[in-house]
Amino acid sequence: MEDQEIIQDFLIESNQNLSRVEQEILALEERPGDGQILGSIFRSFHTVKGTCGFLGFGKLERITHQAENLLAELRDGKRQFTPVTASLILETLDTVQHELGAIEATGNESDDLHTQLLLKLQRALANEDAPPAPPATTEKRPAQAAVDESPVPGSGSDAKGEADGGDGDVVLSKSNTITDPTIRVDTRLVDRLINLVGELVLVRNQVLQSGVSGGKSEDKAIAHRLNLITTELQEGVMRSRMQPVGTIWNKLPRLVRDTASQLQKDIRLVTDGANTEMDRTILEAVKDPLTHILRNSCDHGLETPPVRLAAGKPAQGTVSLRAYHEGSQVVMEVEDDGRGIDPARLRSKAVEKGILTAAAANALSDRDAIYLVFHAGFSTAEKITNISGRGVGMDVVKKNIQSIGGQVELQSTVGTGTKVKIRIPLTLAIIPGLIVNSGNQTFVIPQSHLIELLRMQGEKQSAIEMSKEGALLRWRGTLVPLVDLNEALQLSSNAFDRGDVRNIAILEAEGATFGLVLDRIRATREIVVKPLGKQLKRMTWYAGATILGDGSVALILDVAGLARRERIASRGEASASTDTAGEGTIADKKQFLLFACGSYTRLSVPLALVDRLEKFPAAQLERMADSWVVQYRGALLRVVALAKVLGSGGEECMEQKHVQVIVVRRGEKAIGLAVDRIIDVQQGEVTAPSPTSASGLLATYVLNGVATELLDLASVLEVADPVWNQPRWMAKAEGAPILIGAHSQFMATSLRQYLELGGYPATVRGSGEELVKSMENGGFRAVVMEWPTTDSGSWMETLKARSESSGIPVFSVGEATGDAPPPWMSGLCPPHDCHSLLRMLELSWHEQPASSETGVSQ
Amino acid sequence: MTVVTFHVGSVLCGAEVDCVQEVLRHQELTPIPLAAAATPGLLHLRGQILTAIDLRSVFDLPARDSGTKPVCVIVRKGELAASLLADRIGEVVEVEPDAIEAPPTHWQGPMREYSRGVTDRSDQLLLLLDAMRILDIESSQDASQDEIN
Repeated sequence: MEDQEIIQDFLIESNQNLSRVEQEILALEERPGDGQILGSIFRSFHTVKGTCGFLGFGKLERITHQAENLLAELRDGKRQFTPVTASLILETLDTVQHELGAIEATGNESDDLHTQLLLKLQRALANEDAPPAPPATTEKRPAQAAVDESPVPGSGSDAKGEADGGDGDVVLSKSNTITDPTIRVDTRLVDRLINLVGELVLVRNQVLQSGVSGGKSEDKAIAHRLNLITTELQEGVMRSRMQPVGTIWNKLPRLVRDTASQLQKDIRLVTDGANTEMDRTILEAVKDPLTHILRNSCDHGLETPPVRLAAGKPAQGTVSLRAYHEGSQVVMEVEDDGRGIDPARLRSKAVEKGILTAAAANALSDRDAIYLVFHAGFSTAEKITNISGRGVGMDVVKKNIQSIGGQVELQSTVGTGTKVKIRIPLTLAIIPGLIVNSGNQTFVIPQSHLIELLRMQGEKQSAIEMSKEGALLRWRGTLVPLVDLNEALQLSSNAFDRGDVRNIAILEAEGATFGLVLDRIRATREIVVKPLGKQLKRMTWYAGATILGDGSVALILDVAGLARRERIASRGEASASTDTAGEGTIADKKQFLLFACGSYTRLSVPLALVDRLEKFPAAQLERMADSWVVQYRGALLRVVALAKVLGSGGEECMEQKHVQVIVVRRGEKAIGLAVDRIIDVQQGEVTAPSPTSASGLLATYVLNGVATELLDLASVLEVADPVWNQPRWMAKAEGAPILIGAHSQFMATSLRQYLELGGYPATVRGSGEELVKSMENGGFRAVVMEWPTTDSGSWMETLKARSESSGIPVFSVGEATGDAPPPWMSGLCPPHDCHSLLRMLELSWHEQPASSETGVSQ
Repeated sequence: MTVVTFHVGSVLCGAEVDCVQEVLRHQELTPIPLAAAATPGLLHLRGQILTAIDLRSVFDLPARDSGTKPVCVIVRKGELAASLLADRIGEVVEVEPDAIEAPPTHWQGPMREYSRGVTDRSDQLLLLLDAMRILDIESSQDASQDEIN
């Protein structure tokens, strides 16, 4: 057991020492003969050698011994430091690390005897005048080293003889030396400490609150001291997670060196700011992307010496690596003085690969064009080398950086070089977050995804437009999709009366920009990110949770996950798809839920009208008169057998072991329709609808080539629940009905259905003339009319005048294919999209100056 | 083996005492929007956020009366931890490994899935929870809902 521990310690320590050696050798190449560096390298090998002897790893001992001899000669000035020597030491280093890996994996050295390397080392030693080191020196050198160079950990080789004496100090003494002020701590312990400090901060907050209200001056002083100590403790513990970026830069000089020799380039790596500290988890996450960027700079960025000379540059190319703090972020820059990125070439590449159309490519500015390198599957390297250019690269880099809340920026000038700038948060454990409310719950939005906060009141809301895809916001010259958090997370929308104010957070993630509509925006705070349990891992729209000052828990939204859930395309994708020939995108089509019920084998209902699909175990349903009830989300849900309502069957569907229920909701009120089974959700358009006389059905139409029945949900609900249509708006606003102007019966009925489902009574008028006449009589709060109209005439002018004088808004519903509706009409809402229609109407009430809902306190 | 028992509806459940960290009285839960009924909320326990798993919902039992508050049985095994919501806590009992039998054949679905066996208490069957399984329960809306989204 003890041996195991000693070996473990030996491995950790050796790896630490040796990782430093690589850098030191490279530094030595710059400054040959630097005694300090040589001494340090010597010590590292010496320690490994000593411990190997003690632990009985004979082969490693032999190799390190030879290397040590070589180094001793270098240190004592008996030998010149040449690139050949450097390579030899590096090779030895690799071998030693390889062996250490073998010991870690198997507990023993590998079978490889490394005779080649040993031979090389011996030859190198023999070649020079200096005599090959006799074994006797082994005894001498450690002693010398210990004297010269201060605390070399326990003269390992001496311990060899007394290994049986079990002198564990040989290894342990290292950590006891005074000059090494660091200790190794298990990161899990640090994480636990951070958790506990977080707890302490909460307790502190509570004490401060009660201390202030208590009022005793003594208590106040104690609370104040507790406050100071806690703050300092928190800072200290947080810092213990920090590591200098230099720890991941260690490997890079070697990488550059090897890459350069492979590519026959001459490259100098300059580093600056290796001491910049940041959270070690982030550091780990940055390592691979950084390596990739650096490789790219060496491979694609820098030219070969002849090309450079021809361009009037020094033959040696320079890559500089910088790190520094900027606010609560760490910036890392990789800059080369190579050929730069040519936007023209990227444009033509993008067109060639079919990523962009020629027109779209030409429309890109030079600055934007270079960002094409982040596009998936994009590689402009003319020849594929084994270093880079396989087409997986910069897009992955960007994704990785973004996944830890960072950003990648790119600057490049043709002929002079490229600079890649990575911005990363200092720590993942504590992030600045925006605290918001929606539907009675508190959420946190990571600040790194936040672009802007908007508060729209009154007429400013005209920036919100309705489209086929839903609500859009006109923002900085572009249209961005709007997502209401209440709807996205199915929160209760009655929890908070927004009045005529819209709070919108403009968010960006993975290239997608959208506006998130929230009930309230509260404050920005530094929050401690806590992971969610594994049970919730599939809920990708949550990034974690945090504990607020009052001890309550708030979920942290994952903006990228939310965008994916809401199917918001990234801008790049969107612009690409709109350019590809006039084929309708999927989003244009409506989704229908297909199900079987009684004698109907293929019934459908627009998915937008369905709240949820649930399967209840039959045992949970209780019979009540002509229907059933089930406990559902803290309330009783009434369930009716749809087949019975439609008169197409009995209550067979209730006899299944699990009852399939379609839940329809309006505000707080919900009802369940039990059906036989759910078939599918399909996208498609309503083609060739023909009205049907069957009760509860709206029409028969063709969906994706198959005849399908469309459910008349409004009339079904009327039968199923007589109080269903008791309108919700009655409580909220004056109850004037909405006028529907539609010439086709199908459209009129579905519009009425959607409106009544939203709680608005509606009256249908068939023609334009009738519409105008009804307007004259008044008593309506809005007009919803089918667009385009088929009956032309002067009535349109009259309608316009009436609308303007009375302030009654006129909305148009129809496909946006033909002529656009005149500007005095509000928006154009796609048909069969009841959500957009209802949202549009709801927004308009808030715009009306005489609305009874103004004056709500925020 | 030593088992902590608790009541969930008509079912008597038990978990090995080794993986029961503590039992708490009712705690306020933070609801998780869009989560399945089996995972109704989050719980804050000394700096850690735990998912609450409602055993009534897991076992397809009727929901608790709105007046009664569940107790929290904090269960931890390996890397996984969660708070099981039960109606009330029972007692700590010794169960002979030999006395553990396979669940009765008429138990189907979740009762079978999340138990590692049953044992006869004087008056009732004791369902021994498979802690690893129940802690690994995944919250997602049912399959049909996934199709929609």
